[in-house]
Amino acid sequence: MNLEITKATRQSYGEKLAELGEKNKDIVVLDADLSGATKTSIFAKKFPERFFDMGISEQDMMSTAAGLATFEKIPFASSFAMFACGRTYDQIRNSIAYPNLNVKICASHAGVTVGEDGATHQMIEDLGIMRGMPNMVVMCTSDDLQTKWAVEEISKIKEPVYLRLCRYATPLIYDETQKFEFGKGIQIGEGTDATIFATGVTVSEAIKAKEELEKKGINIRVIDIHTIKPIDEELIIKCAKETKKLISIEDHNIIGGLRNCYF
Amino acid sequence: MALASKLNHEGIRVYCICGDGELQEGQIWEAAMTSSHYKLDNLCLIVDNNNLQIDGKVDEVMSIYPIDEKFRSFGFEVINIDGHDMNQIINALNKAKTVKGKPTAIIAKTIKGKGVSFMENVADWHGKAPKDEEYKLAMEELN
Ligand SMILES: [Mg+2]
Repeated sequence: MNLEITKATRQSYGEKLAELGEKNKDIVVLDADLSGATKTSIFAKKFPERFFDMGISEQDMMSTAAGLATFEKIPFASSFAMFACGRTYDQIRNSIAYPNLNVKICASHAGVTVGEDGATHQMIEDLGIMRGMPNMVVMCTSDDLQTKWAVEEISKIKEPVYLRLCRYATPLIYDETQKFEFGKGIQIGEGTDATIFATGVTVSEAIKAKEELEKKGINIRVIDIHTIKPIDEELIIKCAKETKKLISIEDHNIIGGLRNCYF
Repeated sequence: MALASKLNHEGIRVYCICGDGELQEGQIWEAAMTSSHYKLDNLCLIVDNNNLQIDGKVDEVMSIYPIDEKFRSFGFEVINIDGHDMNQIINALNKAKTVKGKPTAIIAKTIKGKGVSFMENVADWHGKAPKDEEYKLAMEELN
């Protein structure tokens, strides 16, 4: 697999959102003073009347998104993962998750791969928080095409969604022939020595590890879990039966993260 | 909701009632900023200012005064009323409808438990239901 060409999933998100805004006039976008980084600025430029900068007030951003959803709008609310679900637990739980409102929380800069922004910005608890929210769909995408597919997919689901995105550029893994299916993991390779479960930025790293191990005669498979909730139970059980080991690679705390979905 | 109604040009007015104790929450002021920034003149906030919250008197627990000046400085049209005077309530609501380009806050001075001798101005009644006997007594006083 050629993993040379790279692009950040936040960029793919911003591009797709602006494209969807053309077709779907119900889409409105909110940001909390980070639109340049979350890439909602692309939408903002095209559709200023449907873009709301809420300033550095994430709590009010979530409640406002909830209010917009009660009027049949499809709000996409973006910030860094730390602020999008760290500052806003109460608002998301009570105003979005429990009432099952159609709000899309699309958070960029998740995980330690944020890098030099430091520990205050390295969100590694978000999947645990969001998986625990009732009604919340949780997704984390690994490349450009998958992210664009996911953004369109979640705009059609009438449920609250948390989409985890990344700051730095990661390899383009898939081409146009790849089919994505909501709730279904993607199996890469047929190896039976081990299964590596990966999500988001760790998928391309897992593929690199798979290729390295092949040279040593160890044959593994990689499972790209883009839909974390609902999790693909069928595929996890299949891999547990067919391979000797289950390993997860995550840019997240092991508690509440991907491994917690099956173990 | 007020923002969505503006987007849809529906002409719907949104009324929001909040207590005085909860003005201590940071999010109230985030929302206040948003409401005036987006010129939500279809929003009318009514503050139930009984100066009581669960732990006691609002000005003793964590003062939020002056409420009117705070909302004014956040860009609201502010109307102070006696929250037990129906004429003042109606006049304030009517006036709020005429305000353009900014939200309105009606600060209604009230007495918690008004009309029931053993409930008036007692913080303890903030979060408990009356027993059957207390309920009967209270209803008799109110009638
Ligand atoms: Mg009170």
